[in-house]
Amino acid sequence: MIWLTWRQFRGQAVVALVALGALAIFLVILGLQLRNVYDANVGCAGCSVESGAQLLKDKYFSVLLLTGFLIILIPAVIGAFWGAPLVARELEAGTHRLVWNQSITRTRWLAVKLSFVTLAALAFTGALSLLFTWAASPYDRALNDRFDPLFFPTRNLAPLGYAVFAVVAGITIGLLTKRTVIAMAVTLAAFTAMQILMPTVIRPHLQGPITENVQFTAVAAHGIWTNPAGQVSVEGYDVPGAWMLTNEAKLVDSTGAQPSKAVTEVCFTGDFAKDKACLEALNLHSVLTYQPADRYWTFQWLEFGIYLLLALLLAGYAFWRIPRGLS
Amino acid sequence: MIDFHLDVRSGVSPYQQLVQQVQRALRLGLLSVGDQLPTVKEVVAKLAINPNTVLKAYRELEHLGLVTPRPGLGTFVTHSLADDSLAAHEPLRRELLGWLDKAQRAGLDADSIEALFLTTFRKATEVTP
Amino acid sequence: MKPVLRTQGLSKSYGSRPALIDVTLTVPAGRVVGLVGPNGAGKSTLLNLAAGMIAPTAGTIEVLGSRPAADAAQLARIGFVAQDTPVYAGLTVGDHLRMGRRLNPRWDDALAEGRVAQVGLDPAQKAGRLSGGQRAQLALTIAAAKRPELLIFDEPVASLDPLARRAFLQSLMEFVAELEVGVILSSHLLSDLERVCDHMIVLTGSRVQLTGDVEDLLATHYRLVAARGGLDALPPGVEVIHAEHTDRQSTLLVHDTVGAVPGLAADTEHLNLEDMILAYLTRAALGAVGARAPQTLEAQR
Repeated sequence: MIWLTWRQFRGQAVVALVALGALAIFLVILGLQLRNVYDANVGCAGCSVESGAQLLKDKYFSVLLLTGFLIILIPAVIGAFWGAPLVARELEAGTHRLVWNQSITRTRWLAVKLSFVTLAALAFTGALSLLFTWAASPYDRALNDRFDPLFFPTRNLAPLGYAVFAVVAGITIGLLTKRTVIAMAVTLAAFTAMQILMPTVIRPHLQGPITENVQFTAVAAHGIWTNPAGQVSVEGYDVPGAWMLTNEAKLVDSTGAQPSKAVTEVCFTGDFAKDKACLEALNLHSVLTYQPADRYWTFQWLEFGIYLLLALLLAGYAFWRIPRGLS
Repeated sequence: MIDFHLDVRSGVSPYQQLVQQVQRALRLGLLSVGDQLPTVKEVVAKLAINPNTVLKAYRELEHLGLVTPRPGLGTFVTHSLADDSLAAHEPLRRELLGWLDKAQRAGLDADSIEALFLTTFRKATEVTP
Repeated sequence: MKPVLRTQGLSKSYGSRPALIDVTLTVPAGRVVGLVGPNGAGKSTLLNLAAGMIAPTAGTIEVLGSRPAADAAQLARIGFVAQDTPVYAGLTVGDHLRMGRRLNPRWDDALAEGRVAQVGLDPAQKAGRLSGGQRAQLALTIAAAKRPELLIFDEPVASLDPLARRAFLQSLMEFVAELEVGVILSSHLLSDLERVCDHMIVLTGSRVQLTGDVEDLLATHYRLVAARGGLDALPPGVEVIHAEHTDRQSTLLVHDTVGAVPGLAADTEHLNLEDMILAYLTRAALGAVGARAPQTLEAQR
């Protein structure tokens, strides 16, 4: 059965290996470049860490963001092109009626196919995630940004969870739809939905976020702005390495209410330093919620675990379904 | 070795057709004692018929004392029909001609004679299924 | 010997549409079984149930004494070739044999290789580019080289030209002679099957109309022709399958289960298989029209 699975899969495997080779070369070059820039601007004696980090961000933010998207896209593509057709194409072409009548149970047939392709997907995605994590590590060290929702799913364990989920979802959806193209589309849709739901609805609540009152000080504020109602927000209240759940740090008074326009209006004269001092005198603070940096690995494992659990549930359904006949 | 053929539409069951073909070949001297009949597999591969049909025909021939199976070798002719029956052909044919002549004189046309002959023949042969 | 197929009250529905209704039958071992019926009669459903490809809605089915597709051992005992003889289009003939070798513990390599050579298949040829007849031969080879106890074919010759049809049946019968394997094959045309089958199952409208050994069926079915009214009272055990009447004469096709028919009418003769099956199919078709059918017949008198 392993031979047959390999025989049916080898065309895709060749394509995957070529793609992996090309991506690996790109990632190694990117990683070496980043190291050079890091050593020259951040790691050097007497360099300003802050300005070096800013330089790295200016130069490499976009390319790392786009490569990161690619790293997430790859499990999606694997799910659609490896997972979805695995069973659906057999059902579509009717060849399941040939292979299910050899001396091998459907459960074993599915088990071998599913394990084989899931392991291949894990190996492929794992190699890429490892390379990308290595390539991006100077940047991550300098900017401490890896908990950010844009970067979190692209490094370390998370992509592996996505790959397992995508393949198993593709297989199970293929079993249900019995049509390759439909299964591919539904798999992509399911994967995208999960990628949207996870950072917006699920991940922030995996552990209770930390809430902190931060007194407004003129020194800490990088920027301030106000809206027509006179409510003031402030920039620069970041916790290093943490995933900030508060998008906008709004200034509130001791009762927790945003001060009215009448109170704040007097502080906006156009002179930034004077304005900050004026606001500081109003005794305002802001409420920050975030997931602290030391939870990064907990969240990586949780992310991986949730996707793995979903994959197991889907696989369980497929294994329950397949011996029962399909129509 | 003789070659079998089959006419599914003839109304005669396939195994009987095989039996009759062997008997005819024996009568006409195409098969004689010691000759081998085709193996079941050969007949089946040629005619695309059920092996049981061939087996049944061979069993029938064996029962009639015409052939004997030799395990591992095949089925061989042990008795010929040629001598005695060939000799009987001529008088029988003459009798049949006489009967036909009688039928014509009784006013039967060719079709009626054929119908009469066939129904009588079938009824007579059906007694031994 | 255990019967190759035994069903009890077997039914299968797809949603609310019944495909097979209350089928109870027993097929003895060592037969070449023909499953005949018009398209949509439920032949495929019955065979797919026997192969364990689908599960029954109600009732039970046993093949060679066990539940179909219960485990790998049961799968090894049955060689099923589905309708349209599916093969992997992208795999070569040789790949298919290799698949068979790897997936079947009782695989007979010599048989498979010999067969492929005999029917002139090129092992390097992609299966997707084989003709219908070649594909059927390949599927037959895979199923037979598995060395099963029972071969099941769903409409194996329907899509073949007459030459390939004959070639397929010749190959199949060779396997039967050589391997002592039971066979069930279906067709919507009796003419495909009457040469090869010694047991018949006639299926129409999701129900079994007739089943039995061909020899027994031929021996117990008669056409009776008699003067009008001469056959109005038939002895018990004689079932009228089909009746036609003219002013003077009645023609009955009857099934005689007690041996009461000989001597009943002046003109009594056995039916051939085709007429017999047609009579059953006609009866089923009339029955399907509903209660009005007998009246229609009545009106013809």
